Amino acid sequence: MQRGNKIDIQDLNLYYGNMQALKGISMSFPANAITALIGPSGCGKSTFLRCLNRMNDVIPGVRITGRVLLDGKDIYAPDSDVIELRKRVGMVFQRPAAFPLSIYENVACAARVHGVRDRATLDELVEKSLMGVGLWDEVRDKLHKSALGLSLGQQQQLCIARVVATGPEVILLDEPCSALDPASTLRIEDLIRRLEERYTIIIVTHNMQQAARASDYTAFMLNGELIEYGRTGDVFTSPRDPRTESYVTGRLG
Amino acid sequence: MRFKEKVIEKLLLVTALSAIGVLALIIIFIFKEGSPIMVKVGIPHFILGEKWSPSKGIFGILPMIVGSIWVTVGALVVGLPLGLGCAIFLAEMAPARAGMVLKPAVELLAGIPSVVYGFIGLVVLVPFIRNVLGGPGFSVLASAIVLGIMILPTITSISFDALKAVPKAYRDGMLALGATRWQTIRMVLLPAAKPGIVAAVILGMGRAIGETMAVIMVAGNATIIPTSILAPVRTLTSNIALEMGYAAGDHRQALFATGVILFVIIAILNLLARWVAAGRVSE
Ligand SMILES: Nc1ncnc2c1ncn2[C@@H]1O[C@H](COP(=O)(O)OP(=O)(O)O)[C@@H](O)[C@H]1O
Ligand SMILES: [Mg+2]
Repeated sequence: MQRGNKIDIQDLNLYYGNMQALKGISMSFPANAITALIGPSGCGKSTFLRCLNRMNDVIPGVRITGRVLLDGKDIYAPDSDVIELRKRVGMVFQRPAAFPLSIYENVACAARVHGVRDRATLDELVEKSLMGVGLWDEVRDKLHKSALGLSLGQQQQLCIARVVATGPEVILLDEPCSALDPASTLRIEDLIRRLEERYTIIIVTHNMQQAARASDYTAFMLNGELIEYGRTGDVFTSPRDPRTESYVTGRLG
Repeated sequence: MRFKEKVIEKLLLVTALSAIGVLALIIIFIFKEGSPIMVKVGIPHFILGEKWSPSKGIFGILPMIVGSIWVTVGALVVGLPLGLGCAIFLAEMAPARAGMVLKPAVELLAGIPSVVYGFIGLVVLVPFIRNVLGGPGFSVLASAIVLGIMILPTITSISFDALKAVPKAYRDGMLALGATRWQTIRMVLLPAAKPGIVAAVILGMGRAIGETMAVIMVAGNATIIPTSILAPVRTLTSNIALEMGYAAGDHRQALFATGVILFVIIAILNLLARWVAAGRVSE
């Protein structure tokens, strides 16, 4: 099942001041697949993910070398439009950060950001996005109530709906379930599985079962380096690198 | 050790009680001095009466109530956009270090005595309005501008804190959707900071409605309901300050009664501020 690569990364290095957080990473993310990033805390997973939609731009003192190609175009090229990039590459964070607005506005503001003004179009988009993440039936009667009244799991679904509403091609998820209870976690995993058809998905997780269960490809990182990358089944059952094996089994066993 | 603790505890209790006691006494005193004339004239007549003529025993303070409202609203029209704009710039756009230096600088404005503001208004603003816009120059407009500048530190500093308290996650979430900085501010940061900004507005209003000296110097102080922003105006506080020196009998009581009305208005504003601030915590 060769589907072509959505993102190609060539010799990516990232420095926070003098500290090198990413070391010479080269890899490709296939389109319409779920890739899991695993590795111990502090190994650079979040940093790496933020490189893919240039969210590191807002952190002072960050220096990046190497190339990140989205559909063959370098997103760090001087003429690259970061607003357009973030529209195409959406991001969901570790702690669900539903905005302190109504449920409707949470989704609508994402569309407004990209110039949708018309009320009917907005209504339709909000409904479609909420349906897309399986939240519509639960919130249709309280669209204009504060989103902060939702459970954390629902808030995370809402954050995904928000990203979906911008019409992205790639969705980055940084430990989207780490603040959720097991039932909500399963819901989100289920949702991610369903999104795979339409989007290229990269998910950071430190839950080995989650990576094994919910991804097609797995990348293992350690101290800012990419140690191993392959089909999820292979990485978990027959890892090539002893460090991968000890991490995977240590966590699974 | 235990004994020392007890003594300190008691001392603090006494201090607290005397502070509250003094306040209570002031309130009782104002109400005791002001109430009889309100009863005598009739509260509706006192509040809604359009004529203030102490020598003839006519005490209607409507012109001053309306005057205070005009001047306070005017101060907000001037001070809110400036103060909020300043807060947004310092909190969201200026480099972090510049914000940390400029905010105390703005707060320093609060330390300038009000007579200085009034004096500048008197020698610069009043002639300017008279020559350029017409009228006597002493006016609602002059008072609104002077007060608007005086409430800038309050509005800027509290709005700044409210903006700074908005969780970073909202900012990142919005930027990750492809929002520009201005969209982030307008669509998420301002709504999130709204309770704090409302509190800033209410405290600014309190400051504006209570300010006396600067207003007396530029307002013209006529006891008529102003019909244009270029007309002179007298506020509740000015009314007390201007006439207290020579008032006696009913007249003196009517000034205390003016204080009662002012007290009630400010108490309501304070309650509003508390209510709004509490809303912020429970969210
Ligand atoms: N904003 C930052 N400034 C400086 N160092 C950072 C910053 N964010 C992360 N780091 C450092 O970079 C390394 C990788 O962090 P991170 O990408 O958050 O790892 P992970 O997501 O795998 O836990 C850590 O050593 C961390 O301390
Ligand atoms: Mg992380």
